[in-house]
Amino acid sequence: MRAVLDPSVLISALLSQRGAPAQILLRWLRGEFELVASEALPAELGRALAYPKLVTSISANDAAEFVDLLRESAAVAPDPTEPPSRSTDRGDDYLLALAEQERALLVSGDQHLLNLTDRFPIVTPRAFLDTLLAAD
Amino acid sequence: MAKVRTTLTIDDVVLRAVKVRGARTGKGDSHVIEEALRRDLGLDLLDRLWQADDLSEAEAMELAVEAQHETRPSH
Repeated sequence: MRAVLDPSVLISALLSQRGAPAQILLRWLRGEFELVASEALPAELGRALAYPKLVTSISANDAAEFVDLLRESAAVAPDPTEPPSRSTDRGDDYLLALAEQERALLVSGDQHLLNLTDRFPIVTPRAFLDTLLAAD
Repeated sequence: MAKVRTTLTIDDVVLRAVKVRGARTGKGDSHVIEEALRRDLGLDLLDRLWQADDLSEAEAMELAVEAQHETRPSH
């Protein structure tokens, strides 16, 4: 199974051990699915991890280490060129295009993207975790 | 966490370095190798971050989405 994890899912995983995102992250490290990322994704993750409200929970060193882990361990895909406009937030379009290009599920907790589940293979972290659990 | 026995084939220079580290720190080969792997695989990082974790899943997602959107170049 291949999946693109919205950077917000990855950040959420770092912030709370209790939730589905954290369980998904552990299952990726255990090799239960292939995490697909193009350069734009860790780049956005790095920017977001520098957000002032996050730096009290995640130090700059830990943030850099996690971004490096993603770059080293994810299946690297090319950045989609000129992704079509689909989300009400233009910044989400590269994630949709990446998932489509790589024939992967897009896992997101962002309502902008979850509003598009009738048109694209987008699932919540909980639904994706349930899929992984069912495959056990 | 359960421990399992395994067999690895590694470079002899690496194994010597493991033994030197073990001798200097008073740890066994398995311990030194596991520590190195946990660091390299990101497991130590997650343990470190999750020690301070006090957010619910919903709170964490809300903050994560906010961080993502507020730091986008177009914002």
